[in-house]
Amino acid sequence: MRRDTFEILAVLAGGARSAPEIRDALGRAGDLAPLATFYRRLNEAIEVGWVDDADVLSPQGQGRPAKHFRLTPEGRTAARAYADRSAAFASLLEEGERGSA
Amino acid sequence: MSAPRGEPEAPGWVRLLVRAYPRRFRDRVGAELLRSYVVERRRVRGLKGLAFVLRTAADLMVGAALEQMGERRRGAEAARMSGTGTGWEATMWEGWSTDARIAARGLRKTPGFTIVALLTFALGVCATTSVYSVVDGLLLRPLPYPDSDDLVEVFELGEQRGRMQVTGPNFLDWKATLSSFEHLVARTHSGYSSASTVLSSAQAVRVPVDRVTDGFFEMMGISPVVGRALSDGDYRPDAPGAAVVSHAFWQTHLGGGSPGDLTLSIGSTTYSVVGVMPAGFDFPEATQVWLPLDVRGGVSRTAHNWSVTGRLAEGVSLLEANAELDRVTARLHEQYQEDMSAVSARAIPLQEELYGAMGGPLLLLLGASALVLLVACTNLATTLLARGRSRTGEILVRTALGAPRVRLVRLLLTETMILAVAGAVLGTLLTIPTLRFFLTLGPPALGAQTVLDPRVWLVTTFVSVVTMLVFGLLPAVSGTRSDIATGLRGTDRRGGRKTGAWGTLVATEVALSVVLLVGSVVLTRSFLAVVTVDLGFDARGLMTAEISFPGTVFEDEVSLVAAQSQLLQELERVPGVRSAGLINHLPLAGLAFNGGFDLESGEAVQGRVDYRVASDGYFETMDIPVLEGRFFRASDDAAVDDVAVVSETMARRFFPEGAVGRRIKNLRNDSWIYPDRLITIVGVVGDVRHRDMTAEPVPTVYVHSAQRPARASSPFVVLRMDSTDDPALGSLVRQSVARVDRRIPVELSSMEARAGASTADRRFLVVVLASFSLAALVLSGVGIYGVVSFAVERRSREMGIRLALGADPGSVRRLVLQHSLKTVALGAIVGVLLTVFSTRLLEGFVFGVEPGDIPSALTGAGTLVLVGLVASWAPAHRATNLQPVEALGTD
Repeated sequence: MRRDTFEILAVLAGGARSAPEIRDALGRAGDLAPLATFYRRLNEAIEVGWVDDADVLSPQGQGRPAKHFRLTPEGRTAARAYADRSAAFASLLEEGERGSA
Repeated sequence: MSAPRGEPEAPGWVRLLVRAYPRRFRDRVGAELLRSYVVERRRVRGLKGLAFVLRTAADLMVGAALEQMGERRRGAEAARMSGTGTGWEATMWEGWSTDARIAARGLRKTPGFTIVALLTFALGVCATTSVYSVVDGLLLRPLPYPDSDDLVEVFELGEQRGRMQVTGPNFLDWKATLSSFEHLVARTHSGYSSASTVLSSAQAVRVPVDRVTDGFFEMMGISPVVGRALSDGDYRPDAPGAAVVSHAFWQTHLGGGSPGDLTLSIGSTTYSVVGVMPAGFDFPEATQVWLPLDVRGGVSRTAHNWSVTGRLAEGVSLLEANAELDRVTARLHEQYQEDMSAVSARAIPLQEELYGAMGGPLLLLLGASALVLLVACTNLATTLLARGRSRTGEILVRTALGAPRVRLVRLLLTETMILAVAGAVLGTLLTIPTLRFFLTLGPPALGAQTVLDPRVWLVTTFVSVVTMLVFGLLPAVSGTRSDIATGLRGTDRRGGRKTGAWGTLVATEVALSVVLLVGSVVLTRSFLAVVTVDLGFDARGLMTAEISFPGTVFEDEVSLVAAQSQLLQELERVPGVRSAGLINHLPLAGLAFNGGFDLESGEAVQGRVDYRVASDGYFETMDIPVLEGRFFRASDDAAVDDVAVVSETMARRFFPEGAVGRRIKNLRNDSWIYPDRLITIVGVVGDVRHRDMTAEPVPTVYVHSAQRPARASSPFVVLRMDSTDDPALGSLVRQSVARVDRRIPVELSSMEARAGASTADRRFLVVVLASFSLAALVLSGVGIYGVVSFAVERRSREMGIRLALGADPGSVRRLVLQHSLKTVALGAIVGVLLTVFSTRLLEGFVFGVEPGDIPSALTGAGTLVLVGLVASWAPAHRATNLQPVEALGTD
């Protein structure tokens, strides 16, 4: 899994969001991928079944709502595995630094 | 995929590009992508908006190509696996790889063509990427502070809308009233007090020091890495001095020790170091030490002493902030009337404040680099066209054997693609040393943020590759259009005299090169006018040293005068030093105090008169001529009447009946220390260009440093030398200064180096544009040579017949040259016409020459015609050596 795909899954772990909302959250948290790259990653995540569409009720009088996306159980498992792997490397790094100090 | 009703639609080109994505992609996220584009485009304006559009365009195109390729590959594999499909897509993929192999083989077989094509394209990529990297670093990329888009510089505007620094009381009123700003911080006016002598336990150094009001570090969003920032307690009048230092200063001058144990002396105050900022933080202007500033004591609303930086409150736009700022300042002006000189105020983005002045020249260079890329691509198109024609036989054999035309076009385009990608890689490699060269040559601001960013590389490479593919399409289509029978005979008899497409391309190339060359000639002439301008003194053989007498050491005027006098005597004893003098603000150092004065009668004279404090020996050392009266003398000390020397412009403007012997008082820049003291004008000296090499001299009054020692406590020393190249000079001068006091720091530089630094931005512009013109000139020469060679080859049969019928070889040569020069002259004329418009862009960058200068235009056009003549000569000469039998035998 690519890092930017993981970041999308991480944002969706908090609940269903529209794509612009995901981009806003990513923009606040760190590097924001260019527009097309972001949507290609989102499309890939949908393709492999990590993300799917969420039904969102249209707020009255506000036209068509933006499509929302949510994390599937498979997506949650994949994101968790990625995070665990990163955490394992982080603890290796910490141990190394403690050892060298 | 249209936008929901009521929402604005994405522009047509974005929708078109999204349509290039596979259907499945569009169905899933296409509408959301368009919606995001609209939302995000609305958030960025100006150059950042343009950068966003370019980046998104490149990203969308690359993404579409990758998605389509992935889709097709998946489809082809699925068809093959299932055995149900025709498998044509898999065949297509195999076709692409075969084409790539054939193209690579073809390029290897013709190394001369390949190398020229690669270098040509790499040159275009390198020029564009280098300049765009600088533009991106300074103008497009956010400053390295959190939410830096919200940081603004605030200043006051006078009656004539002139920009002024901010007064203390106005700043405090703004701070109490304005709700549009989350933070407002006043800083020391960066002009005259940014460099101070700092004494640590180990040494004395001169470094930029800034005093800041509370909330500065919170406003910047950066916290110290060691210790703490300045806190409220540090701003109390009775608080002990506290200082925050930069990481570099901490490491270099304080040995990286614990902040609690470190102290600094600046002026007559001692400060404890309370914090160390992270590495790289040195806002503003390379500041190394930050001290508390309290502006509450000021009562004047006409003393514009402070720079003000602010952070916009969340959700407040710059427009809204400016409206409030304007309203509040106008109300203050109404309240204080003539006691307040500002009538309005303005906030501008901090990035614009820091690098905005570079914007014009950089955008000019960006345009010039795009022209180089266009010239390179035009050149490549002519070369590819010629190569395509020379391969007519091969192409026709393939056609005769049944290869469809679309396949041949694809083959030729694949070749172009390989050249484009390899050229882009080579161009990028060339960009690294080119950028380094730019940073060495350019003004210091350039180095602050310029790096080769992958994002920048992607955009420029993409634009370059697409440009090359577009130009490559013409030869690919044209090269596959020939008639089989004619082509297989080896010579196209019908088209013998026609080189239409080449002619157009060469004329275009010449026209673009003329535009670049004329711009370069105008800027070079302007630069020469700047560097040869009469400064009013002789910079050759002049060394300068910035000296600061620490306030903690020389506490009274008597000891300061004695130290200044001893310093000059010590320096005059240094071998090689012919004379020495000192002045508070050196010419071309960008510093000046100015204001009016009173006549002896008490009548106030309003005006902008530069105020300078100089010692005896200063004018002689600088070689500034005396026009009337005398220079300063050593005997003009505190025991005698005050004396002044005025510049020629001041004498002419204020004392047309004669300046020497007239008496003035209350010079606005020293009357607060030396009020009502009459000063007798004893001499008139030549004008000096103090501020800038291109700025007209302003009226200047010089007072004697022995009579105004407090105004010359951090002077510049000038030394007239036999030679400025002596490597031992630095240590000899330092030893002399150390004999006065070892705690006085010394920084030596030659006056010529200072003059060079003041023209760095102009030199940068000239050298880069001249390099681009030279590149364009060489490319044009290569292009003309290639086309004339090819034309001779095509017309060899006709020329063979002429020679066989007894034509004079000279007439054949003239025929070829005439034909070539017609095309070149046409391009040169078009180029000169284009310069009428293009050189208007140079207005504001030139000095002593008109942008639409006719001699410059003629020089540019003439040079191109000359290059055309030289490039055509060899093929024309070859034509005269044609053997009629061989020429006719080609049929």
